[in-house]
Amino acid sequence: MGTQKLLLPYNFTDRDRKAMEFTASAFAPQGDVEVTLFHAYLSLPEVQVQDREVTERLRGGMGYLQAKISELESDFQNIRDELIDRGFPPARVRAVFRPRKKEVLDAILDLHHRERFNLIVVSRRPGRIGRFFAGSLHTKLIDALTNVTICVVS
Amino acid sequence: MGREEKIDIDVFKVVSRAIAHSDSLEAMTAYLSQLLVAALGIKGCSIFALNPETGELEIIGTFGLRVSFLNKGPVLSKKSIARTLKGTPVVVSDVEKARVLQYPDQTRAEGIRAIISLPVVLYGQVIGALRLYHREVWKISDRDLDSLLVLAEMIGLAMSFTRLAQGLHAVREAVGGVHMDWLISRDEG
Repeated sequence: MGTQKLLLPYNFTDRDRKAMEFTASAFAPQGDVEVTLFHAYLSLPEVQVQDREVTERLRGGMGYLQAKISELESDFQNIRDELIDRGFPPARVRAVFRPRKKEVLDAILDLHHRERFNLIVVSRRPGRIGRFFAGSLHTKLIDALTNVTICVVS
Repeated sequence: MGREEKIDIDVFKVVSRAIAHSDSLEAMTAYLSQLLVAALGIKGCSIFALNPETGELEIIGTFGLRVSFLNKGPVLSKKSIARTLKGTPVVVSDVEKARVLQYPDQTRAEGIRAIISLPVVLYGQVIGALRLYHREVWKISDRDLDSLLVLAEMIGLAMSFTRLAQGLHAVREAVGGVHMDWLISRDEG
């Protein structure tokens, strides 16, 4: 069997950390697994209103938003480093940090359709009410994909 | 910060469009959090749904707060700015003088100096909370507080609508997988 391609969506929750730890403990020793660590953040809003003062104020705030996203990207790189510390060779861990316009699900499906992963390790969204309102990512993934192994870390 | 007005009709238009134009609650709350942080010049914003069984506030969308702060532990409605869950907005102008915080040390370590907590209400029931975090002492004006309360009501409606839309989508998916022969009795012909 050739190299297995594993997708690990990561959104910085405690359960995402568990999913990362599971990925490392279960797949790093195998040696033939290539991991794509993935985070899709919501694109910064495009603001255009009639009042120039408001537009300028919002644009001023965008600098802060961009700085916070850079901070998040730095945290994300630390997760990649941790996967390497836990046994994956650096050449087999890729970190993809990119903006999205729609739901996380769409960003994951888009990446999968281009790269065709064999395995997706996803965490269960914490909180029953959160899942009730915002939906369950792993359920939607299972419904949307075929011929992919999906591990759900709860 | 003094009691200057920060929310005018244009800011309100921008944030309410974010609600109206989103087809997913997850994207809407994240987008709304970004806009409120930018428009008000504050540190961060979180939108929670209330779990009525556990009393826990579960984050639906957030922006501007560090991962370590978000993962500090469960946010319990009875311990964390509890009056919000009675339907009343709570203004913590200065966290140094407040006794209503569940995680005061983590709040200070995050660099938060003021918190505004607003109930998200639907049909008279509190179903969540909108929280704004500022790095400075914040004496919010009554008018801005009123505007934020209206915004929180709109979030409640959006939460209800998106859940309904998801339910309908699930029904459509389920019915779509059923063959017509299973739905129509053969005796009818």
